[in-house]
Amino acid sequence: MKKDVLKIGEVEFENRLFTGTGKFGDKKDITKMLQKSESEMITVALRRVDMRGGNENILNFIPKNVKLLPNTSGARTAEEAIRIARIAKESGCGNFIKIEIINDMKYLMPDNEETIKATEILSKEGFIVLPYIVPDLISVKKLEKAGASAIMPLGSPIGSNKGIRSRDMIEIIIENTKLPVIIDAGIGKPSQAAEAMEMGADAVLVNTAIATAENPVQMGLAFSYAVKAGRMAYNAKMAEENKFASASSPLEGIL
Amino acid sequence: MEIVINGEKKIVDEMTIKEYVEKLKISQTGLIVEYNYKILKSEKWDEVELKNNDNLELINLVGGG
Repeated sequence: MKKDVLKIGEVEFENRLFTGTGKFGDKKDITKMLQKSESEMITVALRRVDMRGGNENILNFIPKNVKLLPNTSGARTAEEAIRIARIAKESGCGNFIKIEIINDMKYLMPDNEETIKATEILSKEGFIVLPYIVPDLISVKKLEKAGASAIMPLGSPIGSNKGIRSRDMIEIIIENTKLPVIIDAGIGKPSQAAEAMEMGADAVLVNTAIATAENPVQMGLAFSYAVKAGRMAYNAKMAEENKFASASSPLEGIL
Repeated sequence: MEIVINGEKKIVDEMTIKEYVEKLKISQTGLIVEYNYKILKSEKWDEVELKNNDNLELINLVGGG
């Protein structure tokens, strides 16, 4: 069987579960979670150092073979996101960037318009841009033109664990773009990750649901299984849904 | 002299960036220094003397989704 790989930029991923480093109670669990889940890409954020000390380098917990996906969290405008992206790249994080531009603090909805602007500039500078967006086909079309390397539509608000509430809109995107679609935000349990993959998403990004589980390491593995199962089901082409019953046992020769 | 460090004004003595970073009680592993809006590689921290009105950002990578 041909390997089912996901290519983003020039990088090939065999595991379609991407993870995040936020909210872990014990950062050592990040390393263990990555080993168990075999997630091949993980997000990190950039922040000003805490002058009172106690700064821990998150890279110490990420094995070298795992691809870093720095995000631009904290950015409220395209300009701020571009600055963060450039700092991330120059500081040795590689050229992948998740653009996250948020100025709505209640639902943490990304600003698609600013995201498109930042994508255009950063992709020209050689970044592999993965924009985090509110699922909207028109924005996706603009992002394709702007040079995005993948699309990251949200399933539901960040950290809400509500699952894929934007299902119909994401399905429209999957049907109408050639870019990889990574469902990011809101996936709260493995069954929802499997649902994402069955829908035809190319990957999912899960942070809160793993990091805040009582056992994050085991939850990482559970998500990894779910993503594999969902992807396998998608590739196997699922049976159709019917309105009425259809007997599984033969109707002839009944005693 | 006065510099802006991580958005706050501070009065500092004359010294290099390396000396200043060492004076602070922060971990230097993975520390990113942005000096007047440009990244300054760690090899160059001892070549740059702080000047009045300099803007310094000390950044590190943290957990995030």
